Amino acid sequence: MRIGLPKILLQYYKYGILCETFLKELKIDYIYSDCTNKKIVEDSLKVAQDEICIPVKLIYGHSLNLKGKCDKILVSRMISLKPNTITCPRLRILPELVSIQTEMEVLKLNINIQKYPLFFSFFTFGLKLRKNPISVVLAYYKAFKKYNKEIQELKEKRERFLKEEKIKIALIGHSYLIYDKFISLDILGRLKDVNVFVSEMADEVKELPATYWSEERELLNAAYYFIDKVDGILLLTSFLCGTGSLINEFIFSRAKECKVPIMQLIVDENTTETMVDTRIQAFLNMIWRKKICRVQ
Amino acid sequence: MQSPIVSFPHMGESWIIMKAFFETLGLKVLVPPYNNEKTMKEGVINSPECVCIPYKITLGSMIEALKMGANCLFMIGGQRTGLCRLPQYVVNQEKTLREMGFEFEIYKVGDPLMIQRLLTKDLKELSGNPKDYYKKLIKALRIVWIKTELVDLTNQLSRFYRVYETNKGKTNKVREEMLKMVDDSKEIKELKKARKTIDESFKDIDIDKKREVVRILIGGEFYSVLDSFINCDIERRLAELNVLVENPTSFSYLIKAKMGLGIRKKLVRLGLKYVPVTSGGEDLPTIGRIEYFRKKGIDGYIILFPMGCLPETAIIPILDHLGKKFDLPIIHFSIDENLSETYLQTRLEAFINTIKRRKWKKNII
Repeated sequence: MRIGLPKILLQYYKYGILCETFLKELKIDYIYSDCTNKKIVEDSLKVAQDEICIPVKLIYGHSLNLKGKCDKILVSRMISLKPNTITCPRLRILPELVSIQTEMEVLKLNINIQKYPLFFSFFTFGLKLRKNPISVVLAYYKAFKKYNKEIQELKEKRERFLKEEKIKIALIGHSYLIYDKFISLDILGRLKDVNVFVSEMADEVKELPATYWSEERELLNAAYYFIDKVDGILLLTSFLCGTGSLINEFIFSRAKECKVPIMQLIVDENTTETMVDTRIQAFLNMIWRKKICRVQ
Repeated sequence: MQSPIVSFPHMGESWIIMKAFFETLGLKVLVPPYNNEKTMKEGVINSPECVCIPYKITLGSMIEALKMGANCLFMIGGQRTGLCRLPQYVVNQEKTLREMGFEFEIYKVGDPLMIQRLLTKDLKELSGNPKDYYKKLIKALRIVWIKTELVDLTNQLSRFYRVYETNKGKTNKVREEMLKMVDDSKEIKELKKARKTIDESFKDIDIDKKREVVRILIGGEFYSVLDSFINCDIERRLAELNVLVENPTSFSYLIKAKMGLGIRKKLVRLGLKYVPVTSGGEDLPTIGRIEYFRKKGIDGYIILFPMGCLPETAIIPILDHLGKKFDLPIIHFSIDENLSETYLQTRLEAFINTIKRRKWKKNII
């Protein structure tokens, strides 16, 4: 059996390495969908409902891209990613929506850390694939080690970045927006000359405004952690992001208090390269000038 | 602290119930003007862009109340966990209002623990620690329940009489009178009489029972269903097109749902067939309604939700799929501050005409 893995949302941009190593260790054949391109966007716009954010829309396109290439596709149901929190409601019923809209067989991977640990979700997933329990445990162990190593590497990178004398910018946004080169219009490539901190690099901050969304709490945490360490904050949100619309207000007012420059970039399927280019250039120039003025 | 003046944002006719509750406890109540263009404008200016319309309009309502002199606000939400954006509302709204420079106290009505603390501690202090506080509280809760039922009864009856009435506009007048009467009566004895008066005065309306009507179910997010300002009075518009509206969402429905009773439980169970987990709000009842009311002979289904509503926008593909499966026409309206009346009217007329045509075709065959 061959499993298709759509390259989208948290299942690829957060737990991608975990899933991939897990399947590899269990010797299951898998195939990735193509990177987001124009055809995938067009396909998903035909199928998806209106009024949802672009990353969720794209899951239909990525699934349709895999049609015919694999027997089943893996769509994860993220219910909670941290204790005492839940995810955005739109991510909770994705497997049903994908199976209705694309008429493909869907393998579900339920992640609900509020109720049971991550190991349990992968263990039941391995048993569903009819594998030996011991090999499932071993595979998860190896996969988790690799996943942890990557997070550790990011933290080491942070220490290195903080020491360097370059412009430092905190790029606050969902991982599935930042790393997707098509939706974010390669924002990391455009910020090549400056040191960019992403939300995974932050440590825990104790005092945070009340929220109950896992992803949003991580972003708030990152914004509060980096606010006195960086020269500017770049907020990347997708158009009609439900949770972001309320939480970004806290980041704005915090930045105002600390007098840190902040810019919000809202992206959707119609965002053009020139728009992003001009805005980022203007923002970086402003920070650079501010720095020179301070030196003089 | 100076003497408390209590206020709350609007949701449909809920102000009648809330006002009665606080007045029976001996508190001074200030009811802000019913949702209007000014409220909307005030709310839209001070809220984030992509947030849904109930946030904006409740914020606008609170600002108007504070400007008129209120200093105690009551608002739903604020608990530690939630599903959709509703519990987060009050946190952001409080921050916005404080930044605007108002001085006030806000009481959050969230999970059962918070309600318990509110009833036993905060309201007691607000009303000045009277000796017979609990006696008053029980009376207030009784009045709340009776008034909720009366308001729902008035709405239910006016839905029926609006369609069949012979001289148009009579029912609306009677409804206004009855709501005013419910608002004015303050003792339990008076309220018991009011029930009879409501029944009798609606029976006085002349009706034409032979009129052919289409039966339409309304569902979706509860604020947009209950508040006649933001949905451009959709029930009245439908009645003018000879449509008998079936609408299970009401204030008693919401109160019962909070206690785990009523029709909502059945609807949730029916909805769980198609979606294994809830994503908050009214998503499961919206799905469950299709199966529950299909057997009762519904010709169409109108779904209302605010633009960008997290749970309702997520389930649209499932609703469309079920509509095809059960051969039931479904239309959805997303509501925001730019919803124009003509747009709503044209789409409604087209939808109703298609349904009438479908019925006619079926009868011929």
